Amino acid sequence: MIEEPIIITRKLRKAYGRRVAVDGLDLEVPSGSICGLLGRNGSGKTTALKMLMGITRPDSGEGRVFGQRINNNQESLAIRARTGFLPEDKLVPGGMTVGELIRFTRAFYPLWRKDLEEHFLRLFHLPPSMTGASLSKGARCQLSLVLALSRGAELLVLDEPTSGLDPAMSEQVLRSLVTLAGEGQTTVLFSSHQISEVEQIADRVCMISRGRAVLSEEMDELANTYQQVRIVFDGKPPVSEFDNAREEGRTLSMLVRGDVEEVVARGRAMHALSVDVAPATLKDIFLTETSEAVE
Amino acid sequence: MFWKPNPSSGIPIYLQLVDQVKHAIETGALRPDEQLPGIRKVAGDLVVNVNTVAKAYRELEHEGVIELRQGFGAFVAGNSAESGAQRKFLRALPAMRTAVNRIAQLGLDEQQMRRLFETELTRLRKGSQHD
Amino acid sequence: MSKANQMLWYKAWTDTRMFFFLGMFSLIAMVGALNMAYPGSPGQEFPHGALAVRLADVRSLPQDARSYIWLHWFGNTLVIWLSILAVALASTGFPPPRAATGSILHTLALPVSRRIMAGVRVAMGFVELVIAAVIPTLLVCVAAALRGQSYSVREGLVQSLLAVAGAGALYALFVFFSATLGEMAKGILGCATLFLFGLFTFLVDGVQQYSIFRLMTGDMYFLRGEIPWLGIAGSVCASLLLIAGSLAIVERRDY
Repeated sequence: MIEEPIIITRKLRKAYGRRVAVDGLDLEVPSGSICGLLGRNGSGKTTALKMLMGITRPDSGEGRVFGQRINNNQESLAIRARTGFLPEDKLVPGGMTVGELIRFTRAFYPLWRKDLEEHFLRLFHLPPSMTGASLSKGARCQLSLVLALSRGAELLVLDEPTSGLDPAMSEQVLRSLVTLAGEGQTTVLFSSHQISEVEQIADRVCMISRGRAVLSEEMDELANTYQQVRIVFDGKPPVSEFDNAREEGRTLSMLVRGDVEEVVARGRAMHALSVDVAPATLKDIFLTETSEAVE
Repeated sequence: MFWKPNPSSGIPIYLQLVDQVKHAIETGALRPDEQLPGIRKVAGDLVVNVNTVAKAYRELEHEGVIELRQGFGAFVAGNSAESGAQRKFLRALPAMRTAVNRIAQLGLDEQQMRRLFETELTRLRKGSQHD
Repeated sequence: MSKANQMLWYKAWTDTRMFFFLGMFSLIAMVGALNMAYPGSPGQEFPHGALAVRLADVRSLPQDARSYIWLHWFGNTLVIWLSILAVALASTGFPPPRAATGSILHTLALPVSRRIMAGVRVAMGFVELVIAAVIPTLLVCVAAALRGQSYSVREGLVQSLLAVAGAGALYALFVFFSATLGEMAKGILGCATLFLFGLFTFLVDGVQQYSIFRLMTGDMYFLRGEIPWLGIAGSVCASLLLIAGSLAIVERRDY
């Protein structure tokens, strides 16, 4: 039985005046997966996540979470009842103390996980009586995480969950995500600037560039789909014959998507001195697929 | 027991785990019929996706290196399968040694040899896919 | 009340309590000042006037304790302070500021409709306004009694509620500003509005009777026992419209 994806969007679009932030975004996140969202600054990641949560309304297109429409007030409320959201700016309401904020948030989520709340409070050493406004930046990030992850939510939508955290804390947060998803009841969608994090824990990757999804695949498929190819020629390399090829002296380097055999054969047919194929790292793929070509 | 896999190495994490388990068996860290740590525990310790560990365990089972016993967990295969894996390894060793020696004689350095190997591995993988 | 709703009220309280306490305790201090300043014989140091009240009416007042208190308290102090408090309460925290960043996103991601969230916040502010008007007023009556004078509690209550009717409209107006404008624009327009009110209240003859400040001082009630129903109705209608508009805007907005 194939389950419906927990998140599915079609041609989501959002413009702010002349600037198009999200430009026809198709996204699919299967239930139970950990999906990493990669994209450069200003690529529309944050806007997309806010649209899923009903904080921003799409201009056109549709999106469903848990089968509920994101642009309908009531259904969006139903979505939020089952979702833990971590915004990009990890600011928390300043007037309440840490303890009050936790009690405040907890009141809205009957499935609140007290065990997770206590785990994170211990881990982060957050002082319960400090007000939100007087916390340091790192502490605010940590508090936002506690508030988002303890909800007992079926879906976690996290905008850069490890930003503002030191490497040890980041690892702990990633571990929690892995454990939550591993328990089988939680799906995680997280955006990150740390490609290695996505490589480490995600089983699905989505790359956004200029408001559009340029890649949406299972992590395991990527190794089959993308390869780095380097071809050395005797003289000037025929750079125009190959897509997205970089020329360095007599060498052409390129990221090949799909049929690498064909590229290898072509290189050989052009009397290449050598043809090297190596696996592409997520970083290679990211840099190539999200590069904005200078016209 | 396991080292943290390198997510950026280009080698899929699950394959790194497969290799680690095999290595653990060869060095005696894991013995025949001994239970492997649970999938979720490994995922939590190494901070990798549970599905990745599951895939590694499935691959190991496919190769006969381990057995998945329903309701109990994963166990290193009993004597016959384990020494089978070891035997395969030992039998492949001379072929590899010959190849490495010959290529080294051509004057390639370690990096070049590694790349050659990857190229061939990819070709092999692609080839088996087109079946 | 559900736990979640309780928490919404609690949050509204924590967002506004600072201003509420400041406002109310300032007023209570004023009561003390008023009480101490009250002259032995009222005739000698009668105050000059009250906001938006015609000078002729003021001059015709009997120079007794009741008039004295009315002119000072309901005619000046309460009106001014309550107006300030109304503006302050409408400008903090609620409604979410236009260029929303950070902390508001946490609240917006909660499974509560924005109308309810904002509505609770508006209601809390209004309740605080009422309390800040009524309690000091009751203290005025008590203080008067301590000096051997009297100000009818019933009259005091009615007067304070008249003041609230006017301040409530100001509150609603500034809630609307908060919902629609950025910080800068809000500040400018807010000052301009108050200036305009003041202008029409004090400088333009003949318009005083329509001033909101006149509603708040309640001279008709004080002088003739007539409750200005029209004024109240107008104020309430305007307030409800402005609040409803604010809630609708907050509901539709993108953050």
